[in-house]
Amino acid sequence: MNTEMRDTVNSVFCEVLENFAFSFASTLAPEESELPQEGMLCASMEFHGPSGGRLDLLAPEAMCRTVAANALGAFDEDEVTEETTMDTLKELLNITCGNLLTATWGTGPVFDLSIPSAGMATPEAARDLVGDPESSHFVVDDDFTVILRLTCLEPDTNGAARVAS
Amino acid sequence: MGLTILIVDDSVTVRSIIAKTLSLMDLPIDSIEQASNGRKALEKLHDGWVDLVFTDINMPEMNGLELVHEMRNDEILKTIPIIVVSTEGSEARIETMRELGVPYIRKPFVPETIKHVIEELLGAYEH
Repeated sequence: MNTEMRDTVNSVFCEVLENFAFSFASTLAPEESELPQEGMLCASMEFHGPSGGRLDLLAPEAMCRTVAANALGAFDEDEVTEETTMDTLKELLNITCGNLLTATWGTGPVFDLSIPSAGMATPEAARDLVGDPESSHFVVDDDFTVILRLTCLEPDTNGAARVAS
Repeated sequence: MGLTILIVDDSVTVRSIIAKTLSLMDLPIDSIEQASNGRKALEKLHDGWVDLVFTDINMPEMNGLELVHEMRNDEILKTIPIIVVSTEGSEARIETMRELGVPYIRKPFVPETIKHVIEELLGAYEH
């Protein structure tokens, strides 16, 4: 991923998080990432159009609950259910993806977005995202480390997508 | 008699945000119904009268664009005002909705945007 693309990914995610949930994110050097060993959620989705790709978002469950409470205007985080916590992470990724496509390719092209999926992150999946130099690292609300990765895919001759070199 | 509003989105979080925004507005609301995709929305629309529909686009089973087309092609449902709330950024798709008389709100949104669009839509709409 080139620098311009990475800057776009970073600025779109920070802006979406602020507008969606009044939470504040700033970029973090990978070596400063402090991820908990447990309680990590991961959401993923793909987009297809003139260009294709995949977005993966790794975040602590505690942050997702805080973001959900903020977005819903809940006074107490205990009001936020497990379903809503997971759903909020998926929606955060969905909104980031939509806004990222416009910020990168403008309003001309038509993209189809997949339905985001989410679940508890396995240690392997978390390590993969954390260790990938293509990943962006953020600190949210001065407390939580979040990882976002954009993988660009190129359509091959039979219409399937492969990871761009 | 107050309004019945249907919110269609596969995200329970977004449905709750819109419902909460509506409940804080000075609107005569009787009930707020919810559906997680276009197919379920159509079932609710055929079950009883709805005055206003909010719909996302990217949903499983039946997406929001298909729901809008189904409603506009139905003799009974075609007059119901629809507002699309989505991450969609394609000008071509937004223009298609405009041509169908469907306003569009981009996610993430602020409550004032919902309020403004409802006032424009219902203010101009004869029940």
